[in-house]
Amino acid sequence: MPPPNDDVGFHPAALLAACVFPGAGHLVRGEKSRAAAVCVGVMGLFLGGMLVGGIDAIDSKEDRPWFYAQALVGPVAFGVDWYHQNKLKVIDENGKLRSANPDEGRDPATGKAVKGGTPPKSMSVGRVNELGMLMAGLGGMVNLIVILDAGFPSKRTDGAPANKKTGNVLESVVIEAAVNTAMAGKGGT
Amino acid sequence: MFTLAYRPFLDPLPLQDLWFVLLIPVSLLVSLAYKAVRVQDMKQLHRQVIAMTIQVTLGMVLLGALVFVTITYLLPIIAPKPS
Repeated sequence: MPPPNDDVGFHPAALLAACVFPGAGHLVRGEKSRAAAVCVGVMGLFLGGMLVGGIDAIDSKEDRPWFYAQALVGPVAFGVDWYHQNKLKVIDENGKLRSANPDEGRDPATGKAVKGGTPPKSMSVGRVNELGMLMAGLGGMVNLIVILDAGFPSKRTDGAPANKKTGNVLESVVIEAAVNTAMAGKGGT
Repeated sequence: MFTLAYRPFLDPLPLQDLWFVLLIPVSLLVSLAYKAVRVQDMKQLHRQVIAMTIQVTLGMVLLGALVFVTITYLLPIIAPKPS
């Protein structure tokens, strides 16, 4: 097993990069494989949520509490939400944004609802909507852990029990001290 | 029911009856992202991800079973409906 990570402390550049895109913080610190795994995990959850629930799962206006968690993915979440609000929703008679009905289309020039067209996206309902929002939200929450790890790295324990690791270290220190003492005693006599 | 051709990312997947299958990819991806920042040696990543995925999946199944038994069998005993 390799020695614990000694690159601990505060890394502002890694913190900033991690906030911009999942995995970029670890890439800045030179941990390429860790960055790739993080990116696949977080973006897999976010894009998986979009695939399951459709883009309707990312909605800062109609599902604001969920968007608070999804926003932790970073600018990607804000970009998807902006596209959803401004390019896929329609403007109704009162000037308000809403999802198009199944029998409505969207006028690309004005953004207004047009009867008889194809809706730019479908609204998701029920379980798939819940699971889509949940997956994207989980991606954001896991990314918060990733951001903190990139900006404030600590010694990794590999999830092993602390006493076991401490025991191993203490054991090796005691053995080393005993060997040194024995060698010193042998050399002295 | 779809009346139009399916458009990925714009339309939801038709998984209303198979939603529970999504537990496995969700567990896998959460485990991958979490273990990526936890493991010391990246060579151990796949092993730890598989172990955590199994733990999370079985844990959720057990919790679901526990809630089912509580609501279906225990709750009527604890708080029977007034006749």
